Amino acid sequence: MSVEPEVPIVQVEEVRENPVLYKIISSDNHVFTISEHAVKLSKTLWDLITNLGLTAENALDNPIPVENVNGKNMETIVQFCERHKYDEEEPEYTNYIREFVLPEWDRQLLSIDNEELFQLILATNYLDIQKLMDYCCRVIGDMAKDKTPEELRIIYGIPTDAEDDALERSASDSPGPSG
Amino acid sequence: MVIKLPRFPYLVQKAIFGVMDHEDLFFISLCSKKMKNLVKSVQKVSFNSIEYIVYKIMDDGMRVDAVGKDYVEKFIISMYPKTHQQMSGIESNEIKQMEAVVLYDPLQGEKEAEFINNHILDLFGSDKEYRLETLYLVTVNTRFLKKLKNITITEFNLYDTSHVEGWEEYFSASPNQTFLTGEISLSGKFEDDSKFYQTDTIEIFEDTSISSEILKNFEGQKAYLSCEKVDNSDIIQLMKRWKSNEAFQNLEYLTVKFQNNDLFDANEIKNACEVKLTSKNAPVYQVDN
Repeated sequence: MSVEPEVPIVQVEEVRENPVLYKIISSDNHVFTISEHAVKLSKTLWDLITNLGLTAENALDNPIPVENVNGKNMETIVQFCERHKYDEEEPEYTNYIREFVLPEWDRQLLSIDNEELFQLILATNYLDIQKLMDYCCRVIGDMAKDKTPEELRIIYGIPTDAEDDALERSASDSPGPSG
Repeated sequence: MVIKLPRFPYLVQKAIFGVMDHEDLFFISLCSKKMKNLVKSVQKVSFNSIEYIVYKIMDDGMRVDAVGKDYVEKFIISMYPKTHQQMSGIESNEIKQMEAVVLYDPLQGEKEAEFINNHILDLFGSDKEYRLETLYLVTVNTRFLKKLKNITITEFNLYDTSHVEGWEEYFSASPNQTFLTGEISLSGKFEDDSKFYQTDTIEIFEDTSISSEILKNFEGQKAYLSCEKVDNSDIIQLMKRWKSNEAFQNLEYLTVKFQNNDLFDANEIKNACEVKLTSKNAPVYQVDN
């Protein structure tokens, strides 16, 4: 029985991969490595990298602290950015309703409970990742399908007019900072 | 678990609303005054993509669509009568979404139609173009449309005779009609000072006496009438009052087509109105290049 010579397997993605990697530290001190193409999906992170003058030589020695995003959300965000780093650029935003189908991989990624999704959206908003924001919004928007206003009020935590009025009254009755 | 929409930053709320259909936004706006105002402010730009909003009156209900500048129709809301089956699961606020539908008591429906109209005007703005279509109505029912406000274009196709009273109310509620078209058969007459006659352009096909009345009371600019008959006296009085500046001062164009030409005696009209043919020795105007 002959043994086939070991041939290195080179994936297309690796060939295309830019060797520049960056390190990100989440608010709870988890460290993530992310490629240059992927990190560019976050306008906030890329601006930071540019402003800090990080280069291929010093990038891994200078981890970027991100105080507003915890490790759980950062893990999702890094996965998302690596998955979509070679996507074609989105067409210009129009005034029309944004109609698109959420890809199955992303639907799976975003199948998390509502509190986690809430935190992920805040993180996405902070890091300014347009595509992930669109996808998260699609998940939240789809929750409105086939629901009555009463059901929507529960799903989206919308107070009734009476509750809004009561909140405003209690806010105006409460003493100011000087007591 | 709840995902608290009011807790999101404004830009995130805007992005969420940006992926929602008009029907979902309509229902979100029903949740509270704050939500309605939020939808209005966030979607102001998006609503600019709407060319017009159309109310479609059906035999037993009404449907409202937003038509975009690309002329694609987007469903907003509909209303249908409660059936016995549906009545068992009615919400207290009488709104139950299947395809965003408002259910009404089969003998009523006016207040639901008025509520939808008011909410749509508030949400999308009164400066948008609103239209009414009453397509293929068999059982002519004007109770949904008589309180609808701010509609400027009306298209009606009625298979049966409709009483003028409901239409009179409709034209009073939406008096600034710019275009009115379709087949109509009415019992009764509009008031002489009805807003119906103030429509800018009327194009109708009818077999009752509306055309005669239009020839007496029209205050708009253009009328294209196709009718079974009008009396010569109707045309003669129009010509005389128009020539003497007594009426029809807005009139720019008028055609009257008879379904039966035998009833029409052109000579009587020409003689009464002193109409002369100008084909001989007609003035010729030359335009220099």
